[in-house]
Amino acid sequence: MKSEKNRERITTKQRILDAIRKSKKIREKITKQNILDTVNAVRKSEKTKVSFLLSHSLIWYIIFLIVPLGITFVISLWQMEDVNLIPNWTLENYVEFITEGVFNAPWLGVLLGFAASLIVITIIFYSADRTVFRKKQVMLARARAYHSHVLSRLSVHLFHCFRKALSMCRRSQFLYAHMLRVATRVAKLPQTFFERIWTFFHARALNDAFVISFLGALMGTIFTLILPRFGFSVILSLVVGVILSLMFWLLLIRRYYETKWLGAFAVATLATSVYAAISFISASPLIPSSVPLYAGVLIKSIFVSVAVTLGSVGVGYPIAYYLSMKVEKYKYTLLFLLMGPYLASYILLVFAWKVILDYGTAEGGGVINAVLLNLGLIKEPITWLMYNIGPVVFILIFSWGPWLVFPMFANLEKMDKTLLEAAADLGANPRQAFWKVTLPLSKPGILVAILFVFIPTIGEFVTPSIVGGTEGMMYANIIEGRFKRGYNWPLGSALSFILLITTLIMASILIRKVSLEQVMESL
Amino acid sequence: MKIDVELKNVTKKFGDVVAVDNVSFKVKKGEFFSLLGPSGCGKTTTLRIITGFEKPTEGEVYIGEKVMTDVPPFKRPTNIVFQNLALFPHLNVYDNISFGLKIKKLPKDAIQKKVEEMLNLVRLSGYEKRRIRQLSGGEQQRIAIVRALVNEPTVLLLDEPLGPLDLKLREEMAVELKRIQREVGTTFIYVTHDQGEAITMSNRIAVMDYGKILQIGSPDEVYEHPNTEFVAEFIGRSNVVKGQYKDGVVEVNDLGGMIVGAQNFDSGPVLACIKPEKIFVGKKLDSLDNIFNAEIKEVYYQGPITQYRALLENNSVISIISANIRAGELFKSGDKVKVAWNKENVVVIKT
Repeated sequence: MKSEKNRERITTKQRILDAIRKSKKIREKITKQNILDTVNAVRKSEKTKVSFLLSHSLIWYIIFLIVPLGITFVISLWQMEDVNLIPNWTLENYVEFITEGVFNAPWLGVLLGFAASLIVITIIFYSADRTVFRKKQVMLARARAYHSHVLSRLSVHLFHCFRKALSMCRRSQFLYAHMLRVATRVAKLPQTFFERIWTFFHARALNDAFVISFLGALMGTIFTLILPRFGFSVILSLVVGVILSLMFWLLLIRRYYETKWLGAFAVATLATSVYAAISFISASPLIPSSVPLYAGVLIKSIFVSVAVTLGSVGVGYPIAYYLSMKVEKYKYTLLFLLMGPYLASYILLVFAWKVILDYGTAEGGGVINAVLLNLGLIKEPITWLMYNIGPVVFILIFSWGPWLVFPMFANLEKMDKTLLEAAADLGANPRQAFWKVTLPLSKPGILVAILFVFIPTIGEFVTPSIVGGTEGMMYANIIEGRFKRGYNWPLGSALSFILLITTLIMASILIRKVSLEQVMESL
Repeated sequence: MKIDVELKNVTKKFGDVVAVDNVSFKVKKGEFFSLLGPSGCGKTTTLRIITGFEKPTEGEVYIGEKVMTDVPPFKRPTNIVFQNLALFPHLNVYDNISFGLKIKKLPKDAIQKKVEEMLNLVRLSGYEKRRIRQLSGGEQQRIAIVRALVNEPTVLLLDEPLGPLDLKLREEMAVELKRIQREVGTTFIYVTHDQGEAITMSNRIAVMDYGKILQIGSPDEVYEHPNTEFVAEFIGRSNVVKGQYKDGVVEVNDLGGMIVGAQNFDSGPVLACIKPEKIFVGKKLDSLDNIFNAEIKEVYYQGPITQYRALLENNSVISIISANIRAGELFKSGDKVKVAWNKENVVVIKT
């Protein structure tokens, strides 16, 4: 740091000296005033350069970001009466986001289920830590004695996983401490209050157990709640809930807490099954009849976005891989062909899909239904092809997929192909070489692709409005409805603002996972 | 003696281009064998045929006395150090070295032990956690070598690994490589275009040009007794003179007869090669077999030696390397001198 500053000083000095040399005054006697003038001139030119750049980006920021956002935020605090905007400052619109559709009876069951499962899992983990893991050495020795046995080997592995899940990162504690400190300061509570709570939570095992169970219970609850909305049966949604919470754990928590597959599986299964059991015992319906309207649709939009991201990266990556690794002739011609769909207007493409998938008109509807009906393969038109969330996801995946090939292709092209030969030379067969070398090295390309598709898709508006119907409605369609049909600008603004915050959080989570600098370097 | 690698009449064609033309050689166990030749002579292709990255159009490859012609690279007991090293940038030093061992599914503590041993061998202990980017060129070099060596290959192949290093580092690494080879005793096949490296390190050298092996022999054999003009020119630069051979004398146009040592030749056109450092230069020279008049044209003083370029009476240029044994005995450009050499030092090549 210090040397850098010195270097800076040296370069400035150098420039000043150069300027002096270049100036015609060199033949005159160099006085102190002369030097000072030149120094000031150089400094000034440097300053103006920086401020020039700054002013540009500032103007951009103000015009395109801060002004519209500010207006949105201000309007979101107002109210609507008939057709008049009334500037009385209130948070009612934000309250409506949470409460709309919530408070019918089954929701109490869900809350109860969540709270109870939280408590039960905490107790399980806490007692597990106190009893089982304290006897770690004994247990390990016993397991090692039967080490040849597959089951005992598995149990040792499982044991380590649980152990790791429990010995979670100390960072979480710092987070608690910080939150508590801020809370006490804001609420103007005495410092002793903070200390008392801190010492209570400082019992580390309890702390960790609580974090694990909180996340577990939350995941179990959310997934078992959301899935029936997509038409899953109760049993199926429980199964899918386990799988999804497993994935959630692996993607977000695993990196942070360094647990392993089995640990993740254990927590996910435990959380979901405990939630289900408690809901069952408390005799409340497992799945409520209604989810909060706005919040529910927002969560649904996030799910759609995740599905589209996974799907389109899944479609795009093999294409990019194939083009970069296997194709030699016509590589760039093929790449150019991928841009074909983007030469037509996007709305046109979606309508083309509507023509293919539609049902219900006199001729039997869209192409697929018409063909199948005329061939006599079906008697009634297939209705699930259209006007639900399925075609929305499908069309979005196939419209994003080719586009995502480009960043991933660029990344794969930049990869040194001798690395694959090196892997083969070291004994890796082509499959192992792919998992151990190609995939880790194409991570930056994939992450850029994810950034490309994930953020715009949360606010996707065109596709669901054409092929989604009422079932496949996404969050942006609701915003549009509030502005146009409902004519409730303040609510619409509040909803937009919430969308913005959500997107911001999502983007920052994604960017935190890998530094943007690293990503851009590798492209 | 056990033969580790054998190539039998190997030919490789890329379309119409013949990259490797009917190459055969045997490499003994524990040998340091060099493939030497200018760029584009097919030496790297030969190496890639041994590792299995290229399939020969014709011929057979034996490794450890087994036919390996159709075995894919990941099943061969060979390891290669690439020209650009090809270290995995996403892995640290430890993971790079243990890559092959992990694929073989060795137990963890065995891997750790081996990696430590290897890092000791190249004097880089404690570097396990470093990223590849944080290493200097020479350090990366050594990591690349141990990453290959740790798998205990039957033969280690090195594809101009010292190419990207600067001169001083290259000399150090050459010594280091020789030491490593001596300590582990693995068979090395070394590809290079630098004759200096090949001569210092190898037990045997194969000189290649246009896909063909011209000569195989120990460094001094190849240096002192080249069998073709190319070998003579490529290794340590020779003065090559055209002439007619008859009864131990080569008649050169406008210069006269040159007595040569070689006897078992039929008369006819030949090339006579004389290494520059075997030529004496002085005002008065006698008791040598061939003495000619010359005029010094260029002088390059290089400290321990001086290089001269002199004009013979037939207007051909001859280059001379003279050791600076006594100070102050330099010739200047334009000096009339005598140049001389002994008959044993003339290599005669039939054309």
